[in-house]
Amino acid sequence: MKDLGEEKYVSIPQPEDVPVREREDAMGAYLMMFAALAAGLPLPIINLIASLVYYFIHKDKGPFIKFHLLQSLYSQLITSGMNVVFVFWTVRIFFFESTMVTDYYKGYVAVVVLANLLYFIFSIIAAVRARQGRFFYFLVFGKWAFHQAFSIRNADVKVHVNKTPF
Amino acid sequence: MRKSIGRELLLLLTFFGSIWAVVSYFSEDEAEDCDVIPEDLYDKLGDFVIDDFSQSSSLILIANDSFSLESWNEILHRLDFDNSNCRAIYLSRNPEVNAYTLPGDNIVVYSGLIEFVESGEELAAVMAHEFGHVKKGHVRELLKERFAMTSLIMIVSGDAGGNLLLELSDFLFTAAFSRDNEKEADYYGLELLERGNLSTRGMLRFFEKLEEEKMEMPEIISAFSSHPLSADRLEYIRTHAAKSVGDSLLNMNWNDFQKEMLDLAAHGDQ
Repeated sequence: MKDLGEEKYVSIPQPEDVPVREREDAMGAYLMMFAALAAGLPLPIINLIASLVYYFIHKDKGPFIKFHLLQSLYSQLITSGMNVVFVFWTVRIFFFESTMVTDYYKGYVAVVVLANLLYFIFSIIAAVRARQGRFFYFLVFGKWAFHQAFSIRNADVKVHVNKTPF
Repeated sequence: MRKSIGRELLLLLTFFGSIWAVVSYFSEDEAEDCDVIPEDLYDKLGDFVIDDFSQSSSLILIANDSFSLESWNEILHRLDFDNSNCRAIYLSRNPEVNAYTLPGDNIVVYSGLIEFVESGEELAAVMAHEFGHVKKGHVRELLKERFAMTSLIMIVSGDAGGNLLLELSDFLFTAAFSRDNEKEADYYGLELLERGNLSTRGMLRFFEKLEEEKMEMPEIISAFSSHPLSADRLEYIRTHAAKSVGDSLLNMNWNDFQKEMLDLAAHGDQ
């Protein structure tokens, strides 16, 4: 058990401590982004649903898996949110009230493309690291996921003391 | 921990915010017109629909930019008929009381409508209403909405681009203009009648007859109409007709015209 400043965290497992099964399950969290593509469904929200299902199946299998699950899920939530805004903005521009492509729209397209590209590259790197039993921390999401997976809450540290019947 | 996450979040937001700002600032044009249904595609779609339509029922050309039946000249002249308010008008043999605007800005008039109306002024009013749908781009608007919905559904179902044309084709016979669109077409029609110095009482009479017969708009004036004839609609037409300055009648014999059109519809243009 380590005390990192104000927060208390469970010891981080080293690569040799992580069983192969856990490594593969952790890697799977990042590969969920391909799940929808394999099914022929290009809409980003499908990936998110697949990731959510995967999270609920594996979340109780230890902090190493949980960290990777959460990191993947958080990053996917943000990119999917951006993609949904992009889809609705595009539909609105081309089909409804306005037919004008504004400079703000072009800027947003650049941001969405870049965000998806970064998400894709970092997810591949993180999947490879997870397969090796290692960590790879995304900006923001890495720290938040680590905190969620490894912090020791009051409920976790409650120690049971066996007592005699007298 | 929270401070550290906050710093990274700020960094991330600054990075993406800067990208957004820089690309927006250095974009070449202020705004670009990106119509999802360009003019030539719209015209091609119109040809496709007319071809499809003529497979199931005979269509007789009444007027287009280079031709018009002599008996229609008076009505078309008074309504200032040209390419901007309609590409072509067709007559179709069908007992239903109906006239509607198709994509490609083609208007189809059923022989049932010719039989139902009692004067050239009433027919002119119906035509003016349909010209309103064309002029205000209502069909294009409907197509865009349908195109968007179909595309979204196909993206979700993984069948992007598959049966889009067929979907649109099916839609043509089931879609409906909004109440606002109908009102806008009515107002444009009234304006057109006045410009042609034609009495707007023809429109009023036509709508009153619909009311008397308890007929609903979908079967009457436009296949794209979904709403029954509302009291409000009749009221503003009545108000407009009362103030109408155009009062001249068409220089045509309605009975001869009606007989000629019904014969034409019955025997085709042979």
